[in-house]
Amino acid sequence: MSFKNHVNVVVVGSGAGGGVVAKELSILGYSVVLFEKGKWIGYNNKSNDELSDQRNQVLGANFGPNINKNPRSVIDEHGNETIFNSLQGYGNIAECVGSGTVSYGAMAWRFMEEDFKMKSKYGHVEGSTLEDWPISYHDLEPFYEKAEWEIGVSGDDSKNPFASDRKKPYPMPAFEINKEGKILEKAAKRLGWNPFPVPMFRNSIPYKERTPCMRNSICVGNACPVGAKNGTQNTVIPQAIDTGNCELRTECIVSEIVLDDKSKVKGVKYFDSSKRQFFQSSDIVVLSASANETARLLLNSKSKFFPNGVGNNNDWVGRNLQSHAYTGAVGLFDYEILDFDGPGANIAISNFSHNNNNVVGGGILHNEFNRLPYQFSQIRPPGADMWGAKHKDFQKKNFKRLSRVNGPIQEMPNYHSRLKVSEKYKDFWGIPIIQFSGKRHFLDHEHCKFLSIKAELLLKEAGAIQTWQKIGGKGQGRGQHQAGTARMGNDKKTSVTNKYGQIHDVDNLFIADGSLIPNNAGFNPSLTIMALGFWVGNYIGSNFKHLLKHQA
Amino acid sequence: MTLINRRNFTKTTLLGGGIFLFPGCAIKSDNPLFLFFNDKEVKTIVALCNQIIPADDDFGGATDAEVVYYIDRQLNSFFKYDSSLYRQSVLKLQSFCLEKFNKTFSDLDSDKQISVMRMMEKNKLDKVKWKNSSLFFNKIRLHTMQGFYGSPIHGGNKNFLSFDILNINGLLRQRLESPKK
Repeated sequence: MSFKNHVNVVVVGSGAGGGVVAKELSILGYSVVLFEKGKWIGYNNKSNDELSDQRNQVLGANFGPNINKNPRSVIDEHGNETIFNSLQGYGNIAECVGSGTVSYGAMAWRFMEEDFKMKSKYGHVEGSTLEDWPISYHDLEPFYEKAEWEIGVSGDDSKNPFASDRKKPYPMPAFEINKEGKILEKAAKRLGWNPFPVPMFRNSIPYKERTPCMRNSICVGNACPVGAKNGTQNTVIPQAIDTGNCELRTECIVSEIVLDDKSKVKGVKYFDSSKRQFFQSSDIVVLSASANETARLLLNSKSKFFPNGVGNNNDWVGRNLQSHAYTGAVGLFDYEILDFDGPGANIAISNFSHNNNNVVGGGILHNEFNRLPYQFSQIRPPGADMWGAKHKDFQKKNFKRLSRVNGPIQEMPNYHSRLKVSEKYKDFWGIPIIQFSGKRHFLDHEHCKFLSIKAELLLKEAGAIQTWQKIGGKGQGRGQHQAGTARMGNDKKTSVTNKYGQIHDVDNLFIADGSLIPNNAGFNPSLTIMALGFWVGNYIGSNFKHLLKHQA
Repeated sequence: MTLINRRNFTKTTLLGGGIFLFPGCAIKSDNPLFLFFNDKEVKTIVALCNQIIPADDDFGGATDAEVVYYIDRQLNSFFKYDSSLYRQSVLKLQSFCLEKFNKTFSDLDSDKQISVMRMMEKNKLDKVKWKNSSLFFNKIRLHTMQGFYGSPIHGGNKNFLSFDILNINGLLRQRLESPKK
């Protein structure tokens, strides 16, 4: 089916948020065009090459984007704007149907009740824009459940006393804990902590006619060879297309949201794969292009009512850019602790997510995904040789003897960590590119130190013969897990959308991605982005039914 | 040099052509086996790579894994932005070695090579004439690791040498050996 002239809904971006919204609305009968800048990229196209997987990107990124067509820039410490000459400006972010949900590590965390009320719980943090969300965990809980059941999650949080309440269990049992996980689990218990299996968007058993995981150990940064890793590309997007109401347009880049003279959206301008420009008219536009690209699109869409970009009359679009500072420790064992039973990461501890002394928030800790040979060559104890005979010996001896425990710290959002659109540089299509500036709040590094100490303690207790910390939290958070650039809020002056992701003063423009997230918690955000997709989709579906009648 | 034979010539040329991402303006090698490096450069690069990952009693090193082909190919495509850094750095290293030892780098004995490289690593080689030798050193160090430990589809890790060194087996081995382009 092809909708050439007018549709009910345009969705921009087919990742965690957009795939969900497209499906939620198309099953209700709304006509939808889902735009995706990338292509379909599955296991059969790209796989198993460490140097171009989505985590390493030494030779480009298998799951997009192409750096030559999609430059990004950054303001350096001297105030000069420089173009990144690698995919550094993307930090693992993908560009394909399903986006990061094809190549992700696929941890399926719910945020905690506390994460929605950070300001109430911890008070004002100097230099931070830390806020409460306009919705609570309980508002989002049914949508978390929907995401877990519709996308497919394996897990068991009965052993995690810090998990927020859930009405329904996970749809699939947790994965069996691997060798490393079992050793860390015992050690954590000895320390009085509460280890439990990492929830995963992976089939531990056959689920919805899809096969169970084959325990492939290199699926982080790659697609799954048997389709047992669940993303929007193998769940909601095919469902949306099957309704006959959703047309997926790949290799199309939306360049501008078109508004009338007041504040009503009329549709979007986009380029197709041959760089021809078109206008797609619609009743509603939903932006799900990621916290970076959604903000860029808003800023690049100027109108009479919004001279500084749509939704940006109070200068909040592109600000509070967060991702996740990863922090932890490494432990060397005198035996082979790794069995390379995929996907690697499978035991977690949530004891330090909240209620820590002198820490605002905190983070989850887990054993890390398996490290491949090149990545491993860059992991050494402080002061060790980074080349030569000793380096090679270490590589030979310790490839299976090294355990890494780490996790994402809850970053303190700040007004000055931001993206703007460049006045100087344009991309392949002539669209002004993203320009990053600012850095993380100073507390992020302090909080990382706190969590790294705990990670090292665990590795020592587990019997590591040598341990060292890897402390994150400096620089700017702008890579994977990007969030916060069009935050939802009740106050129009300090937020971009209302609690339903509807842009303030624009009734027919919505956001459904990580941009909405006021603070990114100490967990991987993809399940939360999917839940927000269901939340926003549900609101649109219920409140625009007149469009359906009009069509009939 | 054991590196060069007809099979490799064909392999390098075909694959190299296939991934030529940046058309135009490459300074071509004077050696038909290489896309970027000239003969003199090859000698220096091979010597550097071989100290970064040397052969030992049990397993071969960077030369055996043909890491230089990896670097050569990438300097003509994905790492093109580093190509002039390589060219200039090799010249600087040569003039340093000729001035100080009256020999080229590749003709130095192994201990001398290592001590020169340690100085490069610490950016102490010749601060007047070569302000940032560590920048180049770190690049070639990483590129050598990539060529040695990465997938053979990019030109290095011949016969999966590094996977044998790490004793990778089972499903992981199977997966790493079946990359697609």
